[in-house]
Amino acid sequence: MIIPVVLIVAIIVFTVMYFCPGDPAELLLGATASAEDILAMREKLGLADPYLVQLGKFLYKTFLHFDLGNSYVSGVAITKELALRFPKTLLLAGSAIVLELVVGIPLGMAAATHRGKWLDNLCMVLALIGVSVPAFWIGLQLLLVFAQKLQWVPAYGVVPWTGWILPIIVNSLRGVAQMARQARSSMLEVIHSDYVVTARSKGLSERTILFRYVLPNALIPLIQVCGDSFGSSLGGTVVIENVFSIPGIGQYMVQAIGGRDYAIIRSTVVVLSICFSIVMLLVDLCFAFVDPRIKAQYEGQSKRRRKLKAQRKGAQLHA
Amino acid sequence: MNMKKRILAMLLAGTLTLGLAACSGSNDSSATSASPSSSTEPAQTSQETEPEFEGVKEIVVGVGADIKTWEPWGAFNLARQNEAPLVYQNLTTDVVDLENGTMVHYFILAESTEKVGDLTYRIKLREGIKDSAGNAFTADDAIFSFQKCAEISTLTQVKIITDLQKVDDLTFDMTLKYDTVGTFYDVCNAINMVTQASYEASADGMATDPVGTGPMVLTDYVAGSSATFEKADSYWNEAANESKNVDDGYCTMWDFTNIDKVRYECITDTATMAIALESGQIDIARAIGMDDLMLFENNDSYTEFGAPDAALGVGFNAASSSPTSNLNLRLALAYAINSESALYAAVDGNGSVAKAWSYPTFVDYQTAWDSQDYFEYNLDTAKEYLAKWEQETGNKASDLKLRLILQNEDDANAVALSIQSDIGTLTGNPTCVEIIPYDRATFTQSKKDASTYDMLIVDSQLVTRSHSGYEWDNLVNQDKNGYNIFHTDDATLQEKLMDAVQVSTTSDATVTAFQDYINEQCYMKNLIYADGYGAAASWIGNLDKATGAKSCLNLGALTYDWNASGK
Repeated sequence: MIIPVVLIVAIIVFTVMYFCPGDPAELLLGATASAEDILAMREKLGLADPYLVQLGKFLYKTFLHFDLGNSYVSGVAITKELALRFPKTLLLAGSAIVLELVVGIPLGMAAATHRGKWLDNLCMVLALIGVSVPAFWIGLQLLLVFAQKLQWVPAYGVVPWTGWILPIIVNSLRGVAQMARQARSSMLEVIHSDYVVTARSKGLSERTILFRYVLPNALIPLIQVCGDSFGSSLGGTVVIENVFSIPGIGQYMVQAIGGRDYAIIRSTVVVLSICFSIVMLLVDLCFAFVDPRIKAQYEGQSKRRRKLKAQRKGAQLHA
Repeated sequence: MNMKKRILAMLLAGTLTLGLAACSGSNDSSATSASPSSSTEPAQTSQETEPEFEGVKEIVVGVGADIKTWEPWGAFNLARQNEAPLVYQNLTTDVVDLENGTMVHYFILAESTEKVGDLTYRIKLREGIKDSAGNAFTADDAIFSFQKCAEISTLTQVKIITDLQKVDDLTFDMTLKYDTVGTFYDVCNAINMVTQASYEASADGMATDPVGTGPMVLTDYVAGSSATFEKADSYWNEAANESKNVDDGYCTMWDFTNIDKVRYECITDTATMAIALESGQIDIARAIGMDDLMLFENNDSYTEFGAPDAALGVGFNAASSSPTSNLNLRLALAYAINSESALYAAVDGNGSVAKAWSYPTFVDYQTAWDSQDYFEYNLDTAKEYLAKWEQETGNKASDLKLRLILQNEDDANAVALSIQSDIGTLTGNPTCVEIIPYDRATFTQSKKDASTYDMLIVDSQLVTRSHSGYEWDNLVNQDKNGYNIFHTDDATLQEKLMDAVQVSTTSDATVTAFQDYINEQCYMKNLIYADGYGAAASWIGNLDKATGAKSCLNLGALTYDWNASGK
């Protein structure tokens, strides 16, 4: 599924950019450019070709030659820029996911096991705040406190390493909240299952029940949330990287949008879509690993296939 | 239940404390104990008594963009404007002297220029110019720079050169396609000069290893993050650092720096930039948002500095398809728009009200314009013209619908809202003006289409301009552009424009005649001159002097006061 998804994304983003009003060549040359200069620039950038020709060239270069082209504005190779910036964005999004799992799941578990009590309410209020508060605002507030007042972390950039702390926290807030809410509802669903009641009636400790029976079953929907969160975290970097001045893909894309640098916009969207598709594939594989029903389905399929193969082989030998 | 209430109360109290701690002003300098400002005495008073600072004189400047490439002829942006001049120099430059409000023309690599034909200029270079790699800079290199720029760059200034001829090792002739005011100097000011030997020795066209004739060399660059410059081992014009005689033609942009190292940090968010300055991570914030400016105003720990940034005005579409094709309506609108309100809305009063479609520091600005009646806000006069329009056309003011387009920028949006309010008051219809903000590309395209607007915000960037004629030519010259922003087929306008902007005919009289005609026809009302603001830690004691006198706001290359403890 990855290939068609990425192809469709590439075609959509190219088409949207193509039909956007405004001429990148004119923007690049400025107000003093003559009509001939603009025409020459359009030729040079390949913008004078018909839609299908431009689309064909873009898909051919991107997917068959892995050539993302050069920035319209700076002329720098996009692949080179992405190689420098992508690790930072990946680290930001990846760390946010880890934080979501480490904080969100225990928060949800605590809420579920103390349902209706103050801990549950506290966790859910925190989760609600996490979902509702815009990332840029909370980012600036944290900067004011921890960078300006306390001076524990730098106000911008990721040098020294302490510069990563606030961006990762801010980028994970929404995910933590979502994870906590989802973890709570999944746990509550599982907690009331027959097998948990049976386990409890057999005298197993609450801790054993929670970690051996409840959590593994409640994890299944959380894997899906985790995959979705990665997409949100990647998207969130657009805001976070600008607030904290991190030279990642999000910052790169925002600057490109302002300057109508179509080549950068298309390439970053394609790269992010590939990245997201891979994560979703990993999520699917995790499902197969964690969910016994899906695992059984796959095992059943492969058993049937093996049996059929053996039957055919036997028939051939017999013949 | 009580427990719940206690928890909730504690939570709310915590949030409130956090909010108050975050939002409280930073006027208390003791709060920023680690900032350079609090650890040093103000430099200005103690300079004479304290011993000379002997460490590495380093400053850190925050800028809102990244240069992206160090190619000598890369696309213009804020970072390039600030950083590239440390490495690359031009033949000449124009710098606003804020002390007396005039434009100062400096010769840098050029020693002199002379007009030797209708469209030809002779340029003589200074002797002994060398780049940081030690290669001599000659007329061949200047010609190479122009030709290479024309070949690979998007800079349009160079496209008007039709011929370059070497006269001798230090002299060459440049022929232009046309010669309107400011055009020749725009070419000389805008195109960076490099030696052919250094350029060809670079594997990537100096995209990562710039070599210029400037006083500094790039020592470290992290894309999207920072650029560090250090003083070049031997700068060709080192003597200027000693003489410091501006009248000799030396330029503040390069020749007066007394810093050893400057690091530019790319901080894209203006609020983050302010926090970085307050926390002492940067010494100078190149651009401060109007909302954050109050943190640094009247604060002993910081020095704020301003400079002309943009002129914002409103242009009227005079094409027959637009209601503003009617002169009386244009006059009614011009008198109804309050420039003072626009100034406060856009930049909180930091700037001045415009008195003409020009800028006071421009070479061709006429001082008489300061006292002219320039559509002073007068609702009664506006209503009289509106009544005439109603009488002439049979339309009702309450039914009037106008589209106002603008480039989506904070100051332009604020001005648009102010205009909307003023015209709403005039017509009695608050929704009379529809504000349509566009991104730069769409706005550029929409300006050409008479059917897309009735009024537009004309935002003139003043940083790189020296003549009002240059701006007029770009926006009004129908013959050159194929349209004018007023969309009027007005032969008189074109004729007066050409008289005002062509070098052969321009004079105070022709410039005044053009301005008068624009006012008479009310095609345009310039509203405000907005200042851009930055701030610096107060240890930089003479920032006002450095940026004010012969200002160029090239913060990496100025003369700073360094007291014994430096920062």
